[in-house]
Formats: sequence, structure tokens, C-alpha cells
Amino acid sequence: MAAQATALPLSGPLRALAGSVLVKRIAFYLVAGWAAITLNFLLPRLMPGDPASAILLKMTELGPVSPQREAVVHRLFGGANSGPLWDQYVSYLGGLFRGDFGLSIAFYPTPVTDVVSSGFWWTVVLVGTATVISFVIGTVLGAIAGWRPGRRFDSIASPLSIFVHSVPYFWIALILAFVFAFQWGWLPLAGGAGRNVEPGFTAEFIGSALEHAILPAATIVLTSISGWLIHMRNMTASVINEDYVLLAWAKGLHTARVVSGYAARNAILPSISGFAVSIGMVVGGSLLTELVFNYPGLGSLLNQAILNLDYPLMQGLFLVISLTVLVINFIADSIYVLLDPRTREVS
Amino acid sequence: MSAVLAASLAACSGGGANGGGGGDAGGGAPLTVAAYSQPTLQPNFNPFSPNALRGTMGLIYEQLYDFNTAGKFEFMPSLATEIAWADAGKTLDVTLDTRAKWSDGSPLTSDDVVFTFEYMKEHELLALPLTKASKTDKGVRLEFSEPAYAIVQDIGRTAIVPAKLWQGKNPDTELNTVPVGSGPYKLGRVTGQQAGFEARDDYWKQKVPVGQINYITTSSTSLLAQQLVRHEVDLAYAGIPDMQQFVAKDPANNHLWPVHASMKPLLLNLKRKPFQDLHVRKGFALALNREQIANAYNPGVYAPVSATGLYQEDWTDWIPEADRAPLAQNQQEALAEFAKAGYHKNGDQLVGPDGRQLTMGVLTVSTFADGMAYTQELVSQLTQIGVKATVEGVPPTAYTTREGKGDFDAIYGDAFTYGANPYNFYSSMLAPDSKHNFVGWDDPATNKALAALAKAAPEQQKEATLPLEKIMVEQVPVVPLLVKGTPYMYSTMNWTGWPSERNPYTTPDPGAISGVYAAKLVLSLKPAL
Repeated sequence: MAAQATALPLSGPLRALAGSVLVKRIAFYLVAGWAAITLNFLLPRLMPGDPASAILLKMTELGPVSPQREAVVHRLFGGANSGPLWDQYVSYLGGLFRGDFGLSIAFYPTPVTDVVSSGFWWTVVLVGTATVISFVIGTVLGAIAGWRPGRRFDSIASPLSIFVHSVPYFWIALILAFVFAFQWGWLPLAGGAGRNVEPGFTAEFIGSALEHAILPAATIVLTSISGWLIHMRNMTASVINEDYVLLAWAKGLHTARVVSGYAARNAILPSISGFAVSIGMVVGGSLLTELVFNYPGLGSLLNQAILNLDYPLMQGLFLVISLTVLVINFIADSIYVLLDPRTREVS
Repeated sequence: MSAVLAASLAACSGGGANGGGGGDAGGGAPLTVAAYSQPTLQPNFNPFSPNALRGTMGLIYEQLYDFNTAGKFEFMPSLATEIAWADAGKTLDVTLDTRAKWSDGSPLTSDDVVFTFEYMKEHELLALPLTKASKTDKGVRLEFSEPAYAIVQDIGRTAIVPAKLWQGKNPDTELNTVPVGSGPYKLGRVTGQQAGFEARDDYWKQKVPVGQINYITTSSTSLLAQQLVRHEVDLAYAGIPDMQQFVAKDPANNHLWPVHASMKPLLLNLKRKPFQDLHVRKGFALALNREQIANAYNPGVYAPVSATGLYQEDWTDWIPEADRAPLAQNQQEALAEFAKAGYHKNGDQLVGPDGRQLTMGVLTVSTFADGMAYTQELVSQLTQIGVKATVEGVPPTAYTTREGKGDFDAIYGDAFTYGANPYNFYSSMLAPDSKHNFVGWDDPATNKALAALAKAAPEQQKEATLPLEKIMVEQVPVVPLLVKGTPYMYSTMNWTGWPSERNPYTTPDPGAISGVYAAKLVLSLKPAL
């Protein structure tokens, strides 16, 4: 690593930055990427059972299966995932480089890439938007609560958010669905968009999709907001006692300026890296929320892949999830280095 | 960017909640069917694919014929109007309906039928001992290498495809997203969460009463319960936690008919001690209160079954009178049977010759709420008689793996399906080469009786089934407990004319088992006034 760094024709602080931070980071992410790809391959194979039996069990749930259809299922899927592990690994890696993830088993013979892309935007838009909303609201409320710890707003908001945080979120999802959709009928019970709406980039479709997204998004916001709130509150509460905040006051700056420019700016730094992780996790979907609301996203697909022992689909989904986490973290790391001068010196 | 977004949304849009969304011209309200217990689906209308979406059979493609499981096993015509056996069951003459037409307007001929059988044979899709399919002046003649009486239902459930479009297609990888069939519907809007079907106004057999059918996905039973109560779904087949409550919410419109098509026994591992001992198995058969187990979850859906394994209400004439009534619980006699195997009651424990309590785990699928409830009741009854029994609830994949490996003491969860005759039922349970003979039963007398039943002509089948029933009663290879009720729930809010317990003209089914059943149902509906 050091040899590479000295070989670079850069000088001064820029060279140090490139050598010590960027190159190390890139190397780290390459290793992490390989580990993720390999784990994606191994983990699904550690599950017991074979896909043919899983598909048959699902089919018998809804009604009897004739021996004829059973024979077809065994012929198509009985030998799936067989052969030596090493050969499977090599063909898996080869497929990755060609962008070929194989055919899904649960939706055989649909290609895995088609299945994954069918759920991708549903999840990214729903969970992504909900994550941003809860981060913004939670952080702002946390800063307000932490600014005057123990005052009225803090003594209501903080315990309340700890309470909400401890409630399992599928439970909140069930309650929201029961009250707003089932009892009052204000919002749709389930699904991604209205049944009689032609999908497409039209106002009607987007409106319908938004209407269907309100309850699932509210569930995610309600349950994740408290984490940001408590974190930001505690950070702010400790930062306001720092000398540089006192200095800001002493300079006679306006309260808003002190809060935003001195206290919050420092308190938010740890939250930013937490936020990067959350954004990376967005593509993992919100499994329970998606199931409660019958939402057609990646969480629902992951659930179906696991129930059907659909190794190719599991691999495709895990790969999308882990690579997104790595890429977002890499970007966040890089930005963080620029934002906070101290991290540059540590390395 | 926005183009990519629009394209992928178009590929995956979802069907949501708003049920019967008002009157489409000509066809009344759409018929909404909860056909999938999974959140999403992918378009696949290949009738040869195990993942074909429901409706592929029955609504789009038609099968030859079927027998009504929910009724008196009467012949149900579809593309075939009648069948006749010849050559001791080795030849089946099928008369085709000459009116049949494909949705592109061309006639469906015996060439298409012959092609379909040959195509399936060529691609190893046919699990029938078919040697030859040929044209006759009335339809087709199917010839088999051995008597095919027992598999008459499987023959009839062959979906016929147009020869001109399927030549050269690979049935394993074809998704067939623009299907041309002979059925009453053509494909409508298909999204990631529903498959829509639109009535054909040129259907060859009759006018199609329901203009629009939506087969939708429902990810959980609690969601399905809410959709049913809110009348967002007209028809459902999957269980919900409290079916009686669904009916009670709106007794005028909400209806439940449990269709009895399969039997759920207690399976004892005959390769493990002490279950290889007949007296132990008889002891188990007598120790259980079947009525109470049936009432442990959704009372009125499952029912106690006779010791022959056949459901006494549907197969009355097939069962000798003495064996019709389900075994009653009799702990005295049960203990007497256990005593013959060396197990005696010691305090509240049933102790064997080795001085240890009789211990067993009952394997079941943990994700099925109904199966768990029945198993818990079963286990508590066994505990009462002194057996140290436990419920082993495991995820579906672990369940099938352990079943396959024979790694269990007992299983409650597998259902064995009755057909037009009991051959498949008994052979899947008791034949040594069956994939479902998990208990490991291998008995020459049983094999002989199965072979005889396979060859028996329809009028001899009752007689030929008796030896198997006798083996079930006397040898107890499995312990018959309950007949499984497939909960068929429907609403008369938008549509009437449903099959019911009083008028079982077809077996309710979304086309998962038989397209003939599904088509008969939707073609018999009338708009509610």
C-alpha cells in the first residue's frame, strides 16, 4: 500500500489523502465486495430442503396436486442446485460478470434480473422516501429536544419516541391498516397501486401509487423516526455544553445561527454515517411492512425466494442489497472525509 | 432516468385493494378472486409450466374433461363430450366437441389434440403410459401400455394447445405471454399483483356472463380476512383464522362451503420402534378423539374420517357398513392394545418393556396456523393417555427435508387426495415406490391389491378397493384422522349462482387443480340483482 502511494505522482497533502485514505478504502471495498458475493453464494445453500418439495408444498396448500403435475415439478426442479459446490461457484461467478443471474425457481422460467427489477423501484421509492422523511423529521425534532433538555417538548417527545421505538413495526403496520383502511376505509388496504389503473408514467398511476404508499410509508416513518430523534437529542445535549458553543454565544450570535451553525452541525456528524447505512439498506426493503401491505417490492420478493428455496433469486437480491450498501457507504465515507477534517488526520 | 422508471413500473405495477370497482359495460362488476397466497407474481401462461398463473387452465386453455370431486364424481365435459373404454382399459376413445374454436377464429381439431399428446410425450411432460395418440372420425383414440382406468382423471386434465403455434416451442422455458387458447377468456391486464382476464364475445360454447375476472395476490391470511369482510374479494380458497366470523359479518352475502377432497392422517414412522408394532398403531388409532381435533381450529371445516381413510359421506357405497363410522375414542381399548405391545400405565405414564415412557415428536409445518392447532390438540390427547408427545413445528423446507429423510417419529400435515377413484389416494400413501409413502409401508398384499385396482374397470373398482380398505382397518399403515376441508368462501354481493353444498355442480377451484372446474364455475354465475 505504501509503495503504491509513493509511486503516485502527487504531492503534499493530496498525496497523503490519496495514499492513506482513498486507496485503502478502495482495497477494503474490493475485499468486502468479494466477501459479499461469496457469502451470497454460500448462505442460501446452507438452508435445508430442495426447491421441488418447496414448490409442491406451496401448490398443495391451495388444492390437491395431480401426480402428473408433481412429476413435472420434480423433473424441472429436482436436480436444481446439484453438482459439486466448486463448479456451481465458478459458473455463478461467470454469470455475474455476464450480468446473468440465471432463471428464478419461484417464478420459473422468468430470469432473475426481470424479477428483481420488477420490485426494485417500488421499494426504492417507498422505503427511500420514508427513510429520508424520518431522518429529516427525527433529526430536526431531536435537535430541538436536545437544545433544551428537560423542558416540556423534550419530556414529551423523548419518552414517547422510546415507547414507539420499542413497539414491533409490523404491529404498527397492522394497527394502521386495521384503523385507516379496514375500519374507516380512508386508504387502500393493500397493494402497490389501484387495480384498474394502467401502470405507466401517468398522473393517474402515480396518484394511485402514492395513495397506496401512504400507510406503508407512515409505518416506516413512525417506527424509525425515534432512532434519529433520540440520537440527535443526546448529541445536541452534549454539544451545547462545549466551549465552542459558549464562544458562539459570547460572540453574540443569533440563537438560530448558534443552533444550526455550531451545535447541530457538530451533533449531526454521527447521524450522517448512520443515515448512509440506512440508505444502503433501503434496497433490502422493509420485509414485514411489505408483507402486511401486500406491497410488490424487494422485501416481498425476498420472502417468496426464501419460501421457495429460490437460490438464484436469493443470490440476485442479496447481491443487489450488499452491493448497494457497499457503494453508498463508499460514497458516504468519501464525503465524510471532505466534511470532517479530523477523519483525514486520523488515518 | 424517468423513462427507465416508467418502463420498470409498467413491468411491475400492482393491483391494489379497490374491489368490484363498478360496472364495466356488458359484464357487470369484475369478479375478484383471491387466487394467490403470495405478494407478487410474474406473467407465465404456459400450460405446461408448474408456475403457470392460475386461469391459464380453464379460462384461457381448455382441458378434455374431468370428474366432479365435490359432487358424485359425475363426468364433466369440456373439449371432450364423452369417453369410451376399449381393449380392457388400454384404449380410450375421446369424442371431441366439433364446435370448439381457438381465440384466433380457427377450429380446434383432433390434429391439435394428437399434437398436444405427442408434444408432451416428446418433452417428457406426460406421466401417462401413453403409447399412441391417433385421429378417429369423432375425435382421438389414446392407447396405453397398461390399463389406464385408474388415471382417467389425469388423462382428462390435459390442456390442449394449438399445434400451429406450439411446434418448436420449448415448454420448459416458454412464458407464453400472448396465449391463444380455446377458453372463454382472453388475457387482460397483468401486473405484478394481479392477472386480469376479459370475456371473449366469440366463445364457442356459450355467452360468457362475467365480463372481467381479476385473480389477485394476497400476502397474508389476516389481509385476506379483511378483504373478504370488506367485499373486496368475491371468491377465496385459502384459510383465514376465523371463517365462521366471516359468515357472521354478513350472513346474507357471505358463504362458506368446506370442500372435502383429501384426507389428513397421523403418519407413524414404521422404521422406528415402537411404531412398527401393529398394537401400538391400533392403540394410537383408539386413543384419539377426532371430533375434538377437528374442532380445534375453524370448527366445521375439517371432519372425522373413517378408518378406511375414505370420507364416509362421499364414499358411502364404497365402504362396508361396519367401517363407515369414524373410530370413536376409547382409552380403555387403546390401553389394552398398548398392553399387548408391552406398554403399561404406570401412574400417568405409559411405560414400555424397557421401563421408559413412550416418547414421540409430532412433526408439522410451523407456518400453517391450522396444522399447528390440530397437532397441539392431538398431542394433548396423547399426553392424557400417558405418551410423552411433543409438537415439532418446523419451517416448510425443514419439514419436507425431514419427511424425505425419514427423520421423524410421527407427522401430522400431509394430505392425501381422493380422485375419481381411490387408486391415486391409496397408491400415493401405501405404494413402496411412492414419494409420499413416508412411513415406509411395504407389504406384498397391499402391492397386489394396488395392482389389481389399477387394472380394474370402472364397474369393478368398488370391489377392487375393498382389500385396501381392509388393510387400512386391520393393519393401520397410517392412522386416518380427518378429512381436510378446502375452505371455499364466496360472496353473493355481486354474483350469484355459486356451487354449494346443496348444488355441487362443480368443485370450486381457481384452476389450480382443474380448468374444467374453474370454467364451469365462472360460466354458471349470474349478476346479483
